[in-house]
Amino acid sequence: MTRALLTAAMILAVSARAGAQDEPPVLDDKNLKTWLEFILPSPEETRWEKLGWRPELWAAVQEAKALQRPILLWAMNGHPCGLT
Amino acid sequence: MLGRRVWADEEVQSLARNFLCVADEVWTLDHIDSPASKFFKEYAAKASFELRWAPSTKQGVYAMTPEGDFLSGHVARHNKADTVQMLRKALDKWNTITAAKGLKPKAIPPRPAHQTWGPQGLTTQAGGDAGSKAALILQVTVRDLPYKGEAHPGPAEYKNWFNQTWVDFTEQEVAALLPKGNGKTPIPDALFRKVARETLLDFVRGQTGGWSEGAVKKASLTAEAMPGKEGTLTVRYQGEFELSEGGKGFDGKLHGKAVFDLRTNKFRSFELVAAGMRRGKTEQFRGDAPPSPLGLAFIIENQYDKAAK
Repeated sequence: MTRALLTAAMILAVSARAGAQDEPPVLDDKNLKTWLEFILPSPEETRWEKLGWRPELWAAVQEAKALQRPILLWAMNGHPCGLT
Repeated sequence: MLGRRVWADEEVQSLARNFLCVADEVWTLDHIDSPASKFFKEYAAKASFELRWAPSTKQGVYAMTPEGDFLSGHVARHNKADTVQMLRKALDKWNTITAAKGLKPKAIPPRPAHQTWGPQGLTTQAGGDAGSKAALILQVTVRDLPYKGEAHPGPAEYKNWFNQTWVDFTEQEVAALLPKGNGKTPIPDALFRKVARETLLDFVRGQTGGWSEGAVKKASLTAEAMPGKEGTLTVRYQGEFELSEGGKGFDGKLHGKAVFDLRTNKFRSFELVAAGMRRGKTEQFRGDAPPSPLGLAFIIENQYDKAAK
């Protein structure tokens, strides 16, 4: 079971006991880490970053010329490394 | 979001490692004059016989030589089979060019993950107004929260999606995030309203425009000093918000903790969660979904990696 699934199972169990699964969680010092972990991407969800994406095309063009490598450009509305 | 799942695939990564991978914002490349946009437009002109873009956008994945010659590509259509086929086609062409020109491709230096922003990444495109003068950049992640017994509610194609954006702060704004004396210090209204308008959004499934000033019905955040280690200031944040505009809304509360280094005048860590009920359709991606819980997490990019070292 992945970390995210474990977290989700724990959150659901807590929510069910409290009878509050239809409401957003009541945040406090004790559950802050749990909800952070639930919302933040898991290691599996950040595997795409392992390709070492350069964040700007023009700098990458210069680097590709120096390395004699082809370029793979992922271009989206909103920067793909962030909001898209 | 779908693109990230494709790029996480082992076979795709194995093929993609032959290329220098770059991600960039396509509207800027297609509309704002710069060396990058000139390069991209020249590539697009060479690729237009094979690629069929919609009139409104050139979103997609494109393979090219360092000189911008077309190798392969496809418009935004993120699935593994298409991507593998595209990469293989591009590599075949590239290998032919390499042999013909006697090129000797060098190893691609690794670039650590989690360096999207800051001195080793982008400095000017984070949300907020600080740009290259940013003294603090927070990574903002949004995800649907458990609902009606489901850990990850929503239609299958959108289940357990997340999305991210960034918000930056000037040195003066960072100072305004600190408590003054004992008790709860209100974060300046203008500062938190700006953060709320730019980040407290339902952008789980894709871009959503920010809230107008009039949409902020309530927005408050306080900072309170807590016991902590010597040389640091530990801060507890608590707040609430009500945002409503054009049939959509998001109401909820915030809770967080941060550690500020008094020696360097910088935050060592920042952990803030916003959780509430979102309602109404978003601009493009959430149809007539009923109200449901939404959560956002604000952290300093890379803060946990640094702590692990």
